[in-house]
This record gives sequence, structure tokens and C-alpha cells, in this order.
Amino acid sequence: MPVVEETKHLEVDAPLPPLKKGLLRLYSNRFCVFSQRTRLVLAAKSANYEIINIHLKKKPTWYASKNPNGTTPCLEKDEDIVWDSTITCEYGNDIFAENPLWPTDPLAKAKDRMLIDFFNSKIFPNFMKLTFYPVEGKEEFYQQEYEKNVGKLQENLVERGTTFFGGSQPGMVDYIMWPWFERWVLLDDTFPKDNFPTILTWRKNMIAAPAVKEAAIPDDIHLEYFNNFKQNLFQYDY
Amino acid sequence: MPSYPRHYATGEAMPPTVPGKLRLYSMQFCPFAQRARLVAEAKGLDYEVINCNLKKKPEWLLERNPNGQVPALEHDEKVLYESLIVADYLDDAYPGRKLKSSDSYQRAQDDLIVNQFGSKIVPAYYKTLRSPPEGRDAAVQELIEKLSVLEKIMSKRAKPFLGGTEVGMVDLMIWPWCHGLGSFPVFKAVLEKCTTLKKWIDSMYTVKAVNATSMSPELLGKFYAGYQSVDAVFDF
Repeated sequence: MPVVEETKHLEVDAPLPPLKKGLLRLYSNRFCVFSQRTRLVLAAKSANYEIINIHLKKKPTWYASKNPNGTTPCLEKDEDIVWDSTITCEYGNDIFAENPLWPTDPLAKAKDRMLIDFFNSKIFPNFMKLTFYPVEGKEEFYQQEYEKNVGKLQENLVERGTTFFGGSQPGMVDYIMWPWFERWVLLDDTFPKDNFPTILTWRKNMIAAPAVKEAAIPDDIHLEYFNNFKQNLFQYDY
Repeated sequence: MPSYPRHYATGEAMPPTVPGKLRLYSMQFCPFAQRARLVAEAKGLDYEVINCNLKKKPEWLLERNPNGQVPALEHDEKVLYESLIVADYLDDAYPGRKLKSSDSYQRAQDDLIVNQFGSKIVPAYYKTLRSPPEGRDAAVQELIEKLSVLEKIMSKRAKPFLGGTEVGMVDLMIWPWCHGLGSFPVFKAVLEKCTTLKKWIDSMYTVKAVNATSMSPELLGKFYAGYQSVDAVFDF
């Protein structure tokens, strides 16, 4: 198994697990959407690595010395530390030769990056407003924004004419967006999923992809975490 | 007559594209657009600049970038926007010296410098620039504090550039606001305190691409003073 070891979510007084020379380490959190991006990339690259899970509300005291920003994900390999989810995904893609996740053509890569930019500014923030961070009185507004922009994403996939945004196999774009689409179970029943047949098919194909399976959280666990979250309970180990 | 291409406004016809010619949509004083021009210059590319009035935007800018922002790139049927994406594309697609490091870890560190600069330093920069007189000292202190991380990195890595002996992508991507630090009087105290940054800035002024794209303090001052108005002047 590419994930050599995975810890429970370490808290304030937990000792720092000693590094194993030459083994890539990912500081992560099972429910952190941004960390899941990097887990997906590393799975797609068949990387060997260990996961140190971090309790994000009761961080181990040593974590700030790894990532001064205090966020997950963060990669550590011998002396080298890399953080910021976009950068950890890039770095993970760069240091393992297998299965390059970007297109080789510079223009195709630039277009993929523009799509990711669109997703980061117009899609996932609206998803978060419909789920984890609702704004009272603006539910309909965010629903409309989310639907409108998922519609545009769908158009983009139809135009590409391939199974995945990355082609016949998932690429960086697919993995970068996936965590928020894995969590579709958290959307209200009123959300018109059937308006997005191409996205639904893409979801089905992604769920069957090996890297997605490796990093997946089952729907019922997503729901349990979400219910705890809404009551201000931060439970990460299930 | 300005010494740079004039800015096109709403209702004005777009200068027709030339087949095969690389075009950058820009605004002469925009730091984000300057990023694209810095790379085009550093790579020695053959390109044309179409400046756009950002208060009265030409319709054809929005046709290319629905966000209505510069820079945008057009080359035959290819259209791209977002400054970092345009910059990387120019480095990737065109021959000549690669501005990005060939080392994966170095590239990751460089990307982090640019990300952190954009999220922590740029807001503090504008806060200082826009601050009323009574808030100025506090804003300057905050900016100096935020720059300390960059200064630490520069003392370790700048030889004299972050890219090494030659200027690299990371130097160019943070340059436009650092040029501002050297140009607007409000930042005088910042450069007096941040001596490592000042040294790096002085090295940057020896770079051809930097001089080709950086506006004089006089013009920057004139432009900025009028920019709040809907009738802002772009051509001086």
C-alpha cells in the first residue's frame, strides 16, 4: 500500500513521530478538503508516504515549527518542507515520475489552470456557503451562484469531450476539484442534481478511479462529521 | 503624447490582431499586467501591447477576459488571463532561458514566496498607500513587519537575485509592488528599515526587463493621485 502508515489525529501534547529517512511525510487532516487534494495526487502518483494526521483545533505544539501557517496539508521529506495545498500538489506531481498529471502542451496546461482558478473563486466557496459556512438570509443567492457556476463547469467538460477533465484518465484538474464533489451528499435534497447529467457521470467515473478510492471518505462518515461540525464538535477519528 | 501605447476606452474599436503576433492586453500602471510584460521582456519575445482604460473598459477586453482585468494574452486563437498563469505560459511556451527553477523543491519555495507575497504583503502595501494621514504610521509598521519574512529569505538566498546570479520568475512576480515601494514617498520609512530588500531592489534596477517596464516615480505619482476618479487619466 502506498500509504505506509497513517496516525490518529495528534493533539497538543502528542510527541512528534520520528521521521523515517527518505520517506515522504504528509501532515494532513482526514476532513480537510485541501489535504485531500494532496492525498489524491500522491495516490495517483503511486507514491510511498506516511500520513501524520493533525487535530486542527488542538494542534500539537511542534506543528508550528513544521508549517508556521499552521495549516494542512504540509509535506516533509528529510530537510525539505512544503506547504500550501496548490504547492504540495505541484511538488507531489514533480517529485514522482509516474503518471504526469498536467498536459504536456503549455496552452492546455494554462487552460487547465484557468479552470482551476474559476473553480477556486466561483465554485468551492459557494459550496462551502451551502454547507459548512451558511449565511443566514443568503441561502437562495449562494444556491443560484453555485448552480450557475457548476453549469459552466459542465459546459467545459462537454466541450472537452473526454471522460475526465484530464482526458481518458483523471488529471490534476480532476483531483484539485474532487474533494468538493465527493461531498455532494452534504447538499440539501432540493439541490437539482439532475440538471447536471455530465457532472453526475463524471462523479460516477471519479468514484471508480483508483486514486479517489484510496483517499475516499464514505458518505455516511461525511454526514457524521458534518453533523458534529454543525454542533461545534470537531471529531476527526471515526 | 505619452511614450507608451495609448489606452483604449469603451466604444473604441479594437486594433486588429496580426496573425502570428503575440498580444498582451495591459494598463501601463497596473502591477499585475507588469508581471506579464516583465516575462515577455526577459524572454526577449516579439509582442505588442494594447493598453486598456480600466475605468471605461473597451467591450473587446471583456470578450477576452470576462473578469475585465489585465493582463490578458491573445495569440491567434489562444486567449489566456490571470497574471501568474500568463507569466508561466510565456515561460513554458517560448524558447530561451527558463525563468523558473529546474529544481522541484526550489520551484515549490519560489511559488510559496509569490503566494505569501500576494496574500500578506500586497494587501498591507495598498493599506499603506490608501491610508489617511492618521493611520499611516501604523500601516507602515504593519508592512515592515510583513516584509520581515521576505527579508529573511532574501538574506539567505539573494545572490543578488532570488533566482540566483540571474533574475528569475520569483523576482519578476514580486517586482511591481517592490518598484512601488521605491517610488511612492509614503514608503520611505519602509526601505530605510528593510535594508536587505533595498539591496535586492537596487540589483533589480540593473535588469533590462525591469527598466523597460517600470514607470517613473513622477508618472506613478500623477497616475495614482487621479485613479480614484471615474475620469482617471491613463495617458500622460
